Amino acid sequence: MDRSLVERAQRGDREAFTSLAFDLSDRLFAVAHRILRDFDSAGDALQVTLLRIWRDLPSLRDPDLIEGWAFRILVRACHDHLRRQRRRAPTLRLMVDATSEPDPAIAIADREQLEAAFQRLPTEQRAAVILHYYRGLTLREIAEVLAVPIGTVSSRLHYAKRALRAAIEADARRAARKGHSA
Amino acid sequence: MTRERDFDDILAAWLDEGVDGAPERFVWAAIDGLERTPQRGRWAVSIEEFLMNLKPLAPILGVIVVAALAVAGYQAFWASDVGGPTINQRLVTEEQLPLIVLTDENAPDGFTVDEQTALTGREALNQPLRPGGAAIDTPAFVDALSVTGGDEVGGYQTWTALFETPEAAEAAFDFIVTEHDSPEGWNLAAVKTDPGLGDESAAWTGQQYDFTPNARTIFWREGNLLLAVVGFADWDADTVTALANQMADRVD
Repeated sequence: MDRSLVERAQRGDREAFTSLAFDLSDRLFAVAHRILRDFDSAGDALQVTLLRIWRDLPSLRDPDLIEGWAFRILVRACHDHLRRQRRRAPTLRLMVDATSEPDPAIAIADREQLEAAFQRLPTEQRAAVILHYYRGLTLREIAEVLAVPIGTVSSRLHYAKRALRAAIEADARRAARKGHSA
Repeated sequence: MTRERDFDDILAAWLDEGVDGAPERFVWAAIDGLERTPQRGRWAVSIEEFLMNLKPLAPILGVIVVAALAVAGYQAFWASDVGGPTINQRLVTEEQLPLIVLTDENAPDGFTVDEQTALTGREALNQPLRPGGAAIDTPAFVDALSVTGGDEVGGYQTWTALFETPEAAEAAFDFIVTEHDSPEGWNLAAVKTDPGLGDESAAWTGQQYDFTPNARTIFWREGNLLLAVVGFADWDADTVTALANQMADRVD
């Protein structure tokens, strides 16, 4: 990330911020889409995030840390979005707007179980899973991005993984029981 | 361990499916909004962060005030009533649950509490049981609370579930013990030494199938309340015991 671009945007340069926004938006949108499991919701979260970045950019002390700071704002925007959504109508969405090809190594049943279990996770656990398994961040890096201690990141990852894995195992056990009784 | 690796691969592959590029219209919509969004200085952000940090403490402060009023009321009207009826089976109330599990205030040094991922109600009730099997399902259930935390060594879960009567809690305790000792449970080995907590207690340790290489669970019942501490990953035996003892003290 171009440090001078960030510094110019910090001083209120809209042209610089526009370049910065386009630089960041692909990575932010990809994470928002995976947390929220919905294209338009991810778009909303991205817009909110970009506006909050612009608004609070003068408070960023080290311009080199812009990306991690932007992810923290994004996770908060996703959290707010999910909270509002749950208040209105709790629903289970299926992410049908993926553009990349589904991985054939993942069974259809596993994918459905993962999707359902993932949507039951709190935003903070979803974010930890995505930053670790999708963005490839270490536990310490996630701790810095989310501004929480490393033990909290371990705990969030542990329980998220446990819930996701349990969903697949529970389904396999149900199928096995059906097989026995048939 | 192999299946653990497999699951990590499945998760990573599943997360790879999805959109990678942001449609420009979303970015332009934000750029259009800059006109109406003034930038703000460091001091404004600092004040907002301070207020946000206070916000999660509000319910805890509320509970403390209610509990303090209840204690004061009890002392004023009941405690002085020498010779009055004695309570053989003390009942814990719903308001006390947040004071029993881990909180920022009662956590040991170096410990962080993840209050944002706390679970309540029926979602929390069956948290200690292996998903997919039978669940505790009784109309006498009142509320449950599950709070996780961790330090630089391992992760820990503190859990409590409230029932209307000690008899209902006793039935739920028996259910948990049976489930843990059966193939439907987490595949942990029962610890022969009774932890000696509350009215009845039990502990298990070992590998949760191939999920968590090492876990330790302590369950106990105190009147109409069930409690548990679970240590996972690189849990420390002294920490698990200390957390359980502290929870037991808070119930007392």
